[in-house]
Amino acid sequence: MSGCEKLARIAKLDENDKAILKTLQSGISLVSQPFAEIAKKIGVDEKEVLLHIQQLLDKGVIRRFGASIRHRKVGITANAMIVWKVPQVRVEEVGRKIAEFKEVTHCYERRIIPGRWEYNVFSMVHGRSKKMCKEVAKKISESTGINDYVLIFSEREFKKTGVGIIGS
Amino acid sequence: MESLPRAVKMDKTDRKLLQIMQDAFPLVSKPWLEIGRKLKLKEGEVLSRVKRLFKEGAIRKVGPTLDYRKIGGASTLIAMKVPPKRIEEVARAINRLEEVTHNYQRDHEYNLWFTLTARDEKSLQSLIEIIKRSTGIKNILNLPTIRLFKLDVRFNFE
Repeated sequence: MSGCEKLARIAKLDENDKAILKTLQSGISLVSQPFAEIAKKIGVDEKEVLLHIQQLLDKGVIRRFGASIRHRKVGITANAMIVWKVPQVRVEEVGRKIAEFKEVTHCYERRIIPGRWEYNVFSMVHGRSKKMCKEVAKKISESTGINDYVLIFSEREFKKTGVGIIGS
Repeated sequence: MESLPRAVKMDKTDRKLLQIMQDAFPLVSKPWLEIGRKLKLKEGEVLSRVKRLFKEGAIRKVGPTLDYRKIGGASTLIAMKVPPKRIEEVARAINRLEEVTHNYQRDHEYNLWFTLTARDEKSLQSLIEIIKRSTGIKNILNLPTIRLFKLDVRFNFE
């Protein structure tokens, strides 16, 4: 098995699940009964649609159902990828600690390429200013004792979309 | 492609609305009516506020965020060292791929960072080879996830 975290079992999706997810890829409509609209498109009951969505949420196939906000449009413009060099034996402990910070939206252990890239823990911090992100980095460093880290700020957002159902 | 978009003007109610829509979207027959109850607004008022926020670009969409691990698929983070004068050309080429979900220019010698999600590991590797060949960029890092500690993309607007 490759290094990636295929710990989660692949969920079984029935035809209705797939149809619902495909239709929902572009989001719900701004009408009074958006789920009824989807139900009509697929040819099932509104109740079915809502039930399937809830089940997919329970199964973890849907991580979250809600608005995807363009944070850069609402003042949350600083986006720092903070990469940490963590001794292998401490990765789990440090990863968990970093994840506890509410300002951290993503936290991963990634593969290193000895001699070219040695930072193994990645954390994304979004904030209203670079200063704020730097402060969070400092807090994390103090809390974990990891001093070898770099803040890599985003300069331009070229693309930002969600993960769809590829090739279905 | 934008450097820094203009912020959308929002009042207190808009902020509360965004927060509810992000954190606790009601999965009911009439979700906007339900949100209206929480904000003491009529369904129509909720909808017109939401429409404006969409139009202004504050909201990308309302729908499911999928866990690709649960629906199969392989994903990775790629970092490239792109000569500054080529950055836009290369970024545009990368953007065209539907397998690319996030693409950022960053303040580092590795200045282009993007995520790739493909149907499976084999497709992912082929895609990386195609990218190397078509862009001609040799200095490329493939940094797949070994372990996920957190993935919770929510913000505080209030």
